[in-house]
Amino acid sequence: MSSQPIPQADVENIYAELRKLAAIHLSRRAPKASLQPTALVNEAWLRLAQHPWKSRSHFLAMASTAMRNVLVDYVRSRLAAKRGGEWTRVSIDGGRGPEGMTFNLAQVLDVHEALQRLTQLDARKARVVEMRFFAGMDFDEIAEALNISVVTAKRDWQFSRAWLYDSLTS
Amino acid sequence: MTPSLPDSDASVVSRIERLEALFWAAVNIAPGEREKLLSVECPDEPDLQRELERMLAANQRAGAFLEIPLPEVLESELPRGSVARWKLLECVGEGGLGVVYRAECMEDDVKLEAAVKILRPGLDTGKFREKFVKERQILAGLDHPGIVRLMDCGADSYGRSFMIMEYIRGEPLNTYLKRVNPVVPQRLELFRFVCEAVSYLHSRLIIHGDIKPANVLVTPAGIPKLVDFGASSLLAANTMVRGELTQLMLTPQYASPEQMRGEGPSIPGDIYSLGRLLEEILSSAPKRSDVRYILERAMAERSAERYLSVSDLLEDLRRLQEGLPLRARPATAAYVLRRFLRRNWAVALLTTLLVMSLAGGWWRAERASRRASVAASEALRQHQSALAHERRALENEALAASSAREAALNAARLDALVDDLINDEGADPNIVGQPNEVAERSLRRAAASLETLSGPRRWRELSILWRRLAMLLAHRGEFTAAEAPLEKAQYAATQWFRAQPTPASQLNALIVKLCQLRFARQRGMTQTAYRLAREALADFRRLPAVMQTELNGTVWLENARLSIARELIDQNRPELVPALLTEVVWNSYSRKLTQTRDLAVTNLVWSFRRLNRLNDARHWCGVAIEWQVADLRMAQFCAEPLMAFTDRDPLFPVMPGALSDEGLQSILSRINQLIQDLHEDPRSFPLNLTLGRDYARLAEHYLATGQPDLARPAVRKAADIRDTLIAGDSKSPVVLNFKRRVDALEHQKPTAN
Repeated sequence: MSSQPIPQADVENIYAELRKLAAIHLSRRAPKASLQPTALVNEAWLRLAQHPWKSRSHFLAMASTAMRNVLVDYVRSRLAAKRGGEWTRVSIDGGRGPEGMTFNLAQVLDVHEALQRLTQLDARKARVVEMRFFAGMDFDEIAEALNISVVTAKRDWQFSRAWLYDSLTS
Repeated sequence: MTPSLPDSDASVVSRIERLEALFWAAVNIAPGEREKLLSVECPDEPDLQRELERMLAANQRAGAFLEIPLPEVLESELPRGSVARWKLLECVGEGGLGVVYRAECMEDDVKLEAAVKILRPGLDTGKFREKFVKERQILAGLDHPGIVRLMDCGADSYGRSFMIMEYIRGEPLNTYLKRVNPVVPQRLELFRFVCEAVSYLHSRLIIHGDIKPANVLVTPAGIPKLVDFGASSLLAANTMVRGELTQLMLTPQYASPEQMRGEGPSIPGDIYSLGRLLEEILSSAPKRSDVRYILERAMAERSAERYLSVSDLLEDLRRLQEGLPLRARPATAAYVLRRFLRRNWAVALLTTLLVMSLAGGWWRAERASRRASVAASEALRQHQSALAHERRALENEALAASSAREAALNAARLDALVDDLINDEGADPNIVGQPNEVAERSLRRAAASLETLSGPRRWRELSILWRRLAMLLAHRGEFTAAEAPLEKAQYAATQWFRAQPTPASQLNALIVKLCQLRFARQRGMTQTAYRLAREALADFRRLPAVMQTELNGTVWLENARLSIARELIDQNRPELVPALLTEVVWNSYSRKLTQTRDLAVTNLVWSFRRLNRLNDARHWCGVAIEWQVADLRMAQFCAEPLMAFTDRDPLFPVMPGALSDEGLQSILSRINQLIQDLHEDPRSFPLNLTLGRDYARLAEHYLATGQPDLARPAVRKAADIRDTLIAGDSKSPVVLNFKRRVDALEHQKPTAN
């Protein structure tokens, strides 16, 4: 299931659903209201429970693709908006890693594109990255969603990360 | 026999699988060992070896690469930074789709403080962004002590939309109430302040849509201020069904039942929320029955049973505060009273609006509107007793009259007195209801029989009947045939007024005058029309308030106002026009006279524009767009004030010739939209290019239709944009294409002359 292409219509549904959820989530004035993807995904799960999703993991798998679309759109719009101006430097490693690299915002798009290449080579690994980086799912969730062991999920992540880092720097 | 798959069989095992296997084999061994491993596993594949080495190095150096999920990274960017020149200090609120920060900036060594509202990351696109921009537009036109003030807005270099608002050093209403625990009269006063602000909004046809304690901030001086216009909207022309977006953002506790059903913001919806607010404000106090009554009226399940306007609610609140009995329930009141209330909401709002704009003071406006309400109630009472008196008199008369036909005629006459006042556009519903010829015959017969009467009563009956006949003929378009009856009506009206200078005879004379005005305009006698309109308005102001209320919003009277406005416009004296036209817009809006309303709002935009009151022009442009005023000139009128914000060189001539081309209209409205978007985002390349192309298309259209005068400014605009684009990016083929097109236009200009 994990490597099956996700029907576009479903992705669009969830995409719209997540946007709505974001609005609800944000209007609640939760103390740490933010675009926390996991919270959004959980809510989306509850709300979409009546839909014929095969399972929670099936749902999560689709939701992460939708999240990726949302965020890539956002980054694109940000880039488009300041075309010609100073490009903002966004630290993709949160500024924590000792040797972490600082990205242009545009390089989020590079990650997105590299991930598309990785999908050609190994769809499952690309899904792991999508779920973790774009949707913020933890390894337990990813393992469940892709029907793999947690260890495999972690190994996929480490390998893919190195692969992406290499393809973005070389 | 099934052979086991050898690692080197590339046809079965993909390269990436081999890479991964080697990666895991090599990752935990010393670098020296790795070479050995590679020479054993893939001695003849230098590419694979190199890639693996790079990946191992990347694995070492990657640090926390990608480890923080992107949404969190983007989110964490925000509070640390600054927006435009504003330094964000702390988050002070999260409402709707945005986050509000306290912010400061230095200007000429003065530290300014403000509240900055930004859309959340990930939401600064599509519908959410549209809503945010709309909120800014609504706030931009507002100026009221009870409403948060917008200072600046735009988009920063991150592309984040923001608005800078006055920073209110206050606390939410509920917190304030808990902390201060004011006595009931003070609580009511707070509520009244909020109602005043909402009433001001409604007078500008704006619905707040999300009134609740958290959206009312109380300053240390105890002044409540409305904030968060994220759910607000301009009052739509007919139905107010809106997208699910607003519904999602609502606070269920305060939203009205119909809003929760998705019907969108409305005046009754705001009144419901005000009721909820009052309930909360008085939660600790024991409820007297009149308080309960106000709450019930404000929060009635069916919106039709609620207060008709915030002014009505304010009136009951005032009565509550002064210990007077509340107004009667509409359900039990007389028909006249109900109708009066129905119309009064617009008038009361209007009074507030006008007095405010004239005196410029909230307090004065507030006192004046109170006085106006009292006077209106008093006048209504008098009018009711006058009507009752007249009905009795007519009934007696009818009894005394020998023929039954006359009795019926008299009864009809009484109804006519009122019904004449509620004409729909151009039509007299009373007469239109029956076959025209029958009506005409019966009116002529009645008038003939009345010629035999004598005394003032005769003049009255004659005037009314001839007038009705004239209106009937006018309605059929027979203006020439209507002249004679109208002359007779006018003569009779004058005689009646001389004999009995009462409100009834005054009103009758006025209605005759309004008929004459209509005829004069019909025949293109503008000077006469202007004179009649001025006289009619002067007469109108001498009528009792309640009759004025009845007349307001009738086509006949609003036409008089429009005539005067038109004359002032022709005389190039726009300064008096806005007050007049605002009145027409309100009256025609509340009586659903769409044509009159659209005509008035179009000219209102024009006059504000002429007066260089661009904010007001923009506001009414917004109203017109919301109402979908389908008028070509409107599109042009709107284009200019919006454009004037980007530069002060208006494209369109003051009075463009009548153009009837749907294509042109669509170009113009697209230009509007683009200019608005560019206002948000002045440096956008694609927007500029699209705008440039639209100007080019506009110029081409004008040239093709033989209007070089109109084409010239459009060419100039296109050329300006071309120059900007060329300066930025001269190599792009789309830009070069555009350049060629504009060059051609410039070349074409002299020949088109």
